[in-house]
This record gives sequence, structure tokens and C-alpha cells, in this order.
Amino acid sequence: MPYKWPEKRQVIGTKVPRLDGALKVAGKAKYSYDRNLPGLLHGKILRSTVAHGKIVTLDLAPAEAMPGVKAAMSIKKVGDIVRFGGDEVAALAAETEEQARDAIRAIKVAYESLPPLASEEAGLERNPPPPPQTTEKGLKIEEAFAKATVTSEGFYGVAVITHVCLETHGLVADWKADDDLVVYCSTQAVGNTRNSLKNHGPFKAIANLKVTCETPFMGGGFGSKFSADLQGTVAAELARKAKRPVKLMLERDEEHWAGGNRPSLFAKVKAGADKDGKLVALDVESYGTGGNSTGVDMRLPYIYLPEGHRIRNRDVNVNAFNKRAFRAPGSPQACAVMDQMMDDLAHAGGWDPVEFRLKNLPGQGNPLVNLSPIWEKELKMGAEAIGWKQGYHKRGDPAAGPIKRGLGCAINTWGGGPGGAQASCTIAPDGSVEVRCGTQDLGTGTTTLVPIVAAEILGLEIKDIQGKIGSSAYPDAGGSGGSTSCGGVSLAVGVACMKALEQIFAKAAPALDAQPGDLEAEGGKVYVKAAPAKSLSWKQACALLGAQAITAVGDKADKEIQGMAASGVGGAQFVDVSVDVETGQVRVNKVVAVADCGLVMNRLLCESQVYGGVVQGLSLALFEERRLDPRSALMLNPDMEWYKLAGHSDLGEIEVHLLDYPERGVIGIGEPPVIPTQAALANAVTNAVGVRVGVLPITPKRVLDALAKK
Amino acid sequence: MKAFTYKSAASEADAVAALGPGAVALAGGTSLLNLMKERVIEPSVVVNLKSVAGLDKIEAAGDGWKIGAGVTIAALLENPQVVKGYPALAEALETVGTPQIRNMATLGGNLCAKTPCLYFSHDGFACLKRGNGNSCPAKDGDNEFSAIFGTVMPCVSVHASSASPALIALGARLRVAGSGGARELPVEEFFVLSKDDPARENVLKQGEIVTHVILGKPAGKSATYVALHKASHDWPTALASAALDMGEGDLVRTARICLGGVAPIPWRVQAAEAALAGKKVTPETASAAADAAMAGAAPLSQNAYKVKVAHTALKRAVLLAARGSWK
Repeated sequence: MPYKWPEKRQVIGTKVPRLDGALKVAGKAKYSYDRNLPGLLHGKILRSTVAHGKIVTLDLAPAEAMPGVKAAMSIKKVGDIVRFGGDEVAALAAETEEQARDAIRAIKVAYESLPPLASEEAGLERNPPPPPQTTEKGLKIEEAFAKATVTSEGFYGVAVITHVCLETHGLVADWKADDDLVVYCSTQAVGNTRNSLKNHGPFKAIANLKVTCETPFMGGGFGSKFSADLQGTVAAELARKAKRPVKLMLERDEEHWAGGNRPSLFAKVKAGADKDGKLVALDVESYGTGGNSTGVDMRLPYIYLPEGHRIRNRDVNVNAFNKRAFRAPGSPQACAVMDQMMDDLAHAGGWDPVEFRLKNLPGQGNPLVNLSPIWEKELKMGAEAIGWKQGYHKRGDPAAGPIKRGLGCAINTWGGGPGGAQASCTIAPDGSVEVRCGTQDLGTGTTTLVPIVAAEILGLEIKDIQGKIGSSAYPDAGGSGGSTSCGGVSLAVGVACMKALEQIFAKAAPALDAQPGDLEAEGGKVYVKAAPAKSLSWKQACALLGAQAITAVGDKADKEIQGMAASGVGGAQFVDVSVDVETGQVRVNKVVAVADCGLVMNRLLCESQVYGGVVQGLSLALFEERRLDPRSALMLNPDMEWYKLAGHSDLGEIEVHLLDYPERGVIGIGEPPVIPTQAALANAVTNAVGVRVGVLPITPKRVLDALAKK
Repeated sequence: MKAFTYKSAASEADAVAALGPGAVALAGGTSLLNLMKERVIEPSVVVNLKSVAGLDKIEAAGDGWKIGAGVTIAALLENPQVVKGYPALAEALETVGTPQIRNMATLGGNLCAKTPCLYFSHDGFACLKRGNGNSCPAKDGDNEFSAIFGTVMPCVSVHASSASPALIALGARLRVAGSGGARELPVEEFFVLSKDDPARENVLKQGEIVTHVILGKPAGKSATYVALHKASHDWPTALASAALDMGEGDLVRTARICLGGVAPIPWRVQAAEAALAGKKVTPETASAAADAAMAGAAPLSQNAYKVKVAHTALKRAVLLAARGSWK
């Protein structure tokens, strides 16, 4: 029998507050930081103070002699190259955090400096320069431009930003036995964290090594926490050496240096449209950096597909930490380039930006064509909600005085199909239900999702379900990335519960004088569909199991699953800003976010994901930027003082509209809402002040410099 | 943080005696503790001033007020006489840090705080002000937030204090206690721009502490305009405080105007004051005063935009002081 979502849903799609919300606000949720095990040691890492250099001296002996030090190890050796400020060199563990800090300073280390690449521009100029990677599609670029009657040119970009997880990276490592390691890791992938430790060089040889990763709570990952990471394996090695548990959580500056960052992208763009306002040509020369050895995540052209395009990108290296996945990798950057371009082209042609987008939504031949009706609806809804008709004006607010108001919009897409996941559902004769899934709650509400699905399928209430996630000991599920958890976990849990229910029905059917297929579970009862009066309470039905609990396993990969999940969402955002053209300060008046994610599982937390995406998007649009010293490449703002983050007073009003497409099944919503905010805000600023700022974040300097060039 | 000895001073004399070589004074700690954690400052002795009797009092003194250096920013903002009598000071204090910081940070600490320069507190750089280098790394480095005045000096940091420009505009005085007794001086004379000693931004000698800020009779009109990037919890891009003594016919008799966030010390702009003297305050005269002030600006490679921001802050502070609104 194929597995499907019930037609009539009681729990799915309702507003269910976070089940662990009260624990979190009361400070009772135990995060990795809070695991203060008996005999705990504190680990610290010695990090390079040059961004590029060769280690010429490394001596741990003075540190090993320091008070409280129980284990020390080198990570790099003499002769090795350090490639960014904060690169890991050595580590140790001591009785107290202060002793560990002091001991780190006692390590003798010296570097022979090598010339650092401190900016994308420096990276571009290196000899030989990085080669361009060219993609061309459709008409030859000259032929495409020959069709254009209107062209526009611009320079757009987004700076490197860091993930700034509120809970920094790290873990507590506890060897229960020589072959039994338990880690409490701040991770968005408990299974992969376990695997990364099992496969770690020094541990591979341990026979029958058992590793368990426990992460009941974690404080943010955004794509940067998919494995134990270097600090995790180091903590486990130190713990093994010292035969004591070791806590090694990064400090704030380390989190900025080596916790993860999103690649920059800067693009010189020429685009053309024909007389009917159709985008026909796009020529992009771009560059960006993903760190010392990785590139940008190139996703241009994004959504809109002209008749001919040419993208020439150079991946530039700088002496900084390599990129990590960041919430919708590559997409916010691509959106910032494409949707600013679309605005400039609409301006050049004298077209309304919303109308211009509607006209250029993906058509036949564009793989996103099926999303176009969704975007059309979203653009119209968003325009209505922001007051586009009344508030939009031609570029440059004609109002007197220095405060200029403007509106802007942008659209986005993302996949979000279901990720690999398995789950088990155990029903005991007393009627209690336990659902286990080796997923984790990245903050997106997976802890709450699991009981929602189980309660829906079993006809129970959320309080009747024991949902267990956040441990690699549970049935395997993939990492929480790519907006894949909600889909994968919902399917695995749903199918596990459906299979378990089949067993309950098999036991209950004779008692109800019916066939198992005639039964339904709803409202805490098992009853005959055709004769609802013939029923058993849930407890009565489960009592028929006898002495043995039953367990059923669900797998997202089950071939019998039909239409329960899908991939591909569209979204649109509108931003209303006021810009002070005499100070360069941008104030957000309002953001309207219209988002689609198929079947909404938990309306409250789904909206919460969209709010969170917008908040992060605004912070990135206005404030966040990694600053490297232009000579040394050392990061100048590895803190929360000069690495500026939006606060409540910076956000303005945020209005979220969810579109319901239950027939499409579950689609992830974690990433898409962060994508268009930057572009929409940049367009609003341009609409307000009359000039294109182009590069984000939009700081007072960038606004005033752009106005000065006017 | 380097290990240190902690002493709690019960009196001014106690504090002064404890502040020997290698010792630092601790007030709210919102700046000092960070610098100690970063090892920018590595004192052997930390002397707690919060325990000094009387330093947390706001007292009437003659026509004005005597404010203990240990009074917190939050306590000052809760004092209706201070807020009403000295709007320039209140408006400057409102934007300091966050509510949590304002609950801890003191007025004296605000006057004596170290620069928020990107390089000063960074371990990877040799810095003149920090005392471990021979040149200023900001000068040819990332100077987006650095000084636009006094940039011929060896260090191009900006002063951290948001309160000081207001106190200078208001003509406030300071009481400083040391081993030789106490002295009073105008706030303006407290700050020094030293070519020979860029580590120094004020006249305090070893063993001296600021004990009180003395505000004269509330008179005239005053205001501060703070230009921020973020709406809160941000260092000002620039700020300006103005105090106007108004004569007959709405004409400015004398003006005192001081900028913050634009130079290694609070930056009084007498050219702007002179430009306003004898004039009625209008958007045009305020702008002309700002023009006069900015004639002295010498921005660095990346911070020309700050000249515009400081110009705006000055113009708006003057308009706010004179008319209650800059719009």
C-alpha cells in the first residue's frame, strides 16, 4: 500500500510552539558548553598569528611544564605552512580554562613570514592570475546583445561574511572505555560527526571503536557544522591522551577565524532587454573568494534565463579560512547580482521593476518553469502587502529633506527536497509511543516536528509521543543542511508510524470484528471507518499487543512513498527603507516575505524560519562583513563589536505570508528566506537615493561614496 | 588575562595610594576587562573604585551639579535634573553601548576609556597607542572608522568617549585626585593630543583618578546629535555636541561645539563656534558653521565619508539645540 499523508489533517499544519522552548528560555537546556563532566579538562588551540608563513620553531615542552597541563599535541610541524590568521598549530588540555590559556602562550613558536594575499583584488593581481572559468549558453553573447534595445551596466557584490554561530563550534569528548567515545558536539549532523571521528586517522586503528554523538540542543550552524571538525578530533585526541574528558569550544575570535565563512562575489555585469522588456543578454565578469584554496559557489545566472549569457568567473584565493556552506550556498550572492541587475535594467527601460520581473519569470526551457505561477502569485501578494502602487516612485525619492524612502523587491528559489533519514516507532502495550530518529534540531524545530508527524499518523496528541532525536545512536538521518531535514524526517517518521499502526490494526481488527484495512486511528481511538461506534481506545488497542512492544522502522527511501515530499520553492520579498543621505544610515521600515514550502508541517515554526531568514538577511545586507587587514590579511573584526550584527532596533516590521501547496508535499524552508533580502534591500536603497550602491553590506561609507560620485 | 592583585579602595586616599606603578583603576569594567582579557593592558594590581565612598553620588553644587565619577550612565539618564538641565549630555549618553553596558559603565570610565580602534586591541599588530610599535597600523591600513581630524599626528585613532564632547560644550570641569591632593580643571584641558606620547589621551598621571564631573548652572540651549550605523550598540560614526548661549533677537551670543568619534581626543571646533556667533540659527547658518569646522578635516584613504557625517552631526546638533528639531 502506498504511503501518503492523510487527506484530513489534525496536527500537521497547525501552530505548535517549540516543545523545548521553555527549557531553552529557562536555561535548562543542556548545550555542549554545559557538559561539565566529572574530571573535565579544558582544551585550547594555539593558532598562527600570521596569515601566511612557514613554521620554523615549534616546542611544546615549556607548555607541558605549565601548571595543570595534562596533555599537549602538535597539529602542524616545523616546515608546515600556515594559510590564515588563526590556522591551527598545536593544542593542549589543562585543569582550568585559565591554565590552558596561559599554557598556550608558553608554547615556543616562530614563523617565517610569506607574502599574504589580503584581498580579492590582491588575489586577482597575483602572477599568474587565476584563470577565468567561462560558461556560455544559448545565443552567442554578441548575437544576444544584438537583440537588445536597452542595456544596463553595473558592478554588484557581497563581501565575505562569517557564520557567527551564537554557540561556537566545539565539543566535549569523553572516552567511556578505550574503544568507546562519546562526544557532546555542537553539530548539525550527529551521524556525520560520529563518522568523522571514527574515520579520524589516529582512531581508525582502534578495533571495534564505538563513537556516539549526543546533541540534544545546539546553538546555530547555518551550514558550518557538519562534522567533528579539527577542534573536535583534537579534543578527542587530548582526552584519550589525558584519560580525562576534554571540553574544547572555540572562543569568539576563533569562531570568526576558523568557524566558517561565506564566499564573496563581485560582478561587473552588462545586461540587455528587447523592446518588449524581455531579458535577452547577460554578460558577467565576476570574482570572489572562498578562502585559501576554495572558490565561490557560482550560481549565476540565477532564476532569470536570457536568450544568451556568458559568465566568466575567477575564483580568487586569499589567506583566510576556507568557506563553509552557508544557508543556501551561493544563492544570496547570485540573487544580489541578478536582482540588482534586473532593477537597473528595468530602470534603463523605464519599466516597473515588479512588472519587469513578472515578464521575465522562467518560461519553457528554463528548469524552473513550474515555479513561475508561484512567483507570479508571490510578487502580486508582496506588492500589495508592501503598498507598491502607492509607495513606489521612479528612482530617487523626490521628497524634500535628507530622509529618502524607497521600495525594492527580489525573488528566490531553492531545492529543499527530502534528505536521507530513517526513524523507528515503538509502541508499548501500555499505549506509550516512542519515536527515534538520528536527526538533530539545528534550531529549526525538528524536536517539535517529530511528535507532530507521529501524533498525526497515530491519531494521538503531541503530548502522547516521546520524540527522541539528537543522538547518533538513533536510526541514521542525514545532516541538517540544504533544507532537507523537514522533508526527510517527516517521511521517515511518518512511514515508521504508519507501519507500526498497521501492526496495531492487525491486533485490533479481530476485536472489532473487522479487517485491518477497515480501521482508522483518530482522536485517541481505533475505530471501524464505516461504523465509528465500533471502537477501542488507543490504550485498549495497544493492550492487545500482549507483553511485547512493537517497533517499526521507516525510511525516506521507501519505494512505497507517494507524493509526501517534493523539491523546489519560490519566494519573493519586498523591502521598504528610509535612507538618510546626509549620514548614510539606512533604516528598515518594513519587510514583506512571501514564501512557499509545499505542505506546511508546523505553521508557527515555519513562519519562524522565514522571520529568521529575513533577520539574517537584513543583518547581512546592512552590517556583516569580514574585514581583513590589507597588508597582513589578519582579520580585524573577530568579535561582535566591529563584526556588526543587526539588533532588534535595526529590523523594522517583518510581515510573513506562507503560501500553502499541500498537494506538493513537504519542502524545506530553512534556507530560501535568507536569499532575497539583501537584493531587495539594495534595490529599495537605490529607489530611495537614486544611485546604485551595488556592494553589500550597505554601510554609511558605501552610501555616501556612491552619492558623492553621482 | 594575566594574574593580578585585586584591591578594593574604601576612600579616595586609599585608591590613590593603591595606584602605584603597574596598577590600574577599575570602575564599571566594561572596557577595561576586555582589554585585560585581550592582554592589551596587563596590570599587576587592579584597584576597584566602585567601593570608594561618595563616588556614586549626584549632588547639587551651587547652581549646578557635582557628579561622582562612579555614577553609572544609566543612573545619570534616570536623573531628571541632569536630563532636563543638560540635554547635550543626556542625548550623548543615551547612545552609549546597550542597556547592560549603561548599567555598569560609569561617567568617569567613559571619560577615561581607551579607543575602539580596530588595531589597538588586536594582538597581531604593533601599535603606537598600545605602546608596542613605532607606527600606526591604521594610517595605511583599514581606516574606515579612524580619525579625520588631527591625522597629521602619529596615531589616527578616535576617542571612545561619547560624553566628553557634551561636557566640553557645556563647559564642565573635572576634579582629579592624586597623592598631592585634588585639583580641578576644565574637561577640555583634561584631554591631550601628544605627538611624543600617543599612548596618552589625557593628563592623568600615575596614581591620579577622576573623582567628579562638575556641571555649572544649566543655561542656554544644548544638544548632541549622534550618527550611528546600527540603530543601537554601535560606536558613533561621528557625533557633535553644541551649547548655545542665546542673546537678544534669537542671536547666538556664544557657541561651544565639540565633535566626537573623529579624532584621537574630543575635537572642539572653534571655527564653527565663531561662524555662529552673532547669527540666528537657521539651516543655512548651521550648515555654514559645519563648513567652517570641516575646513580643518584631513581624512585618510578610506574615510572621506566621515567628513560628510561629521558635518551633518554638527549641523543637526546646532539646529537641535536652537530649535528642538533638526528637520
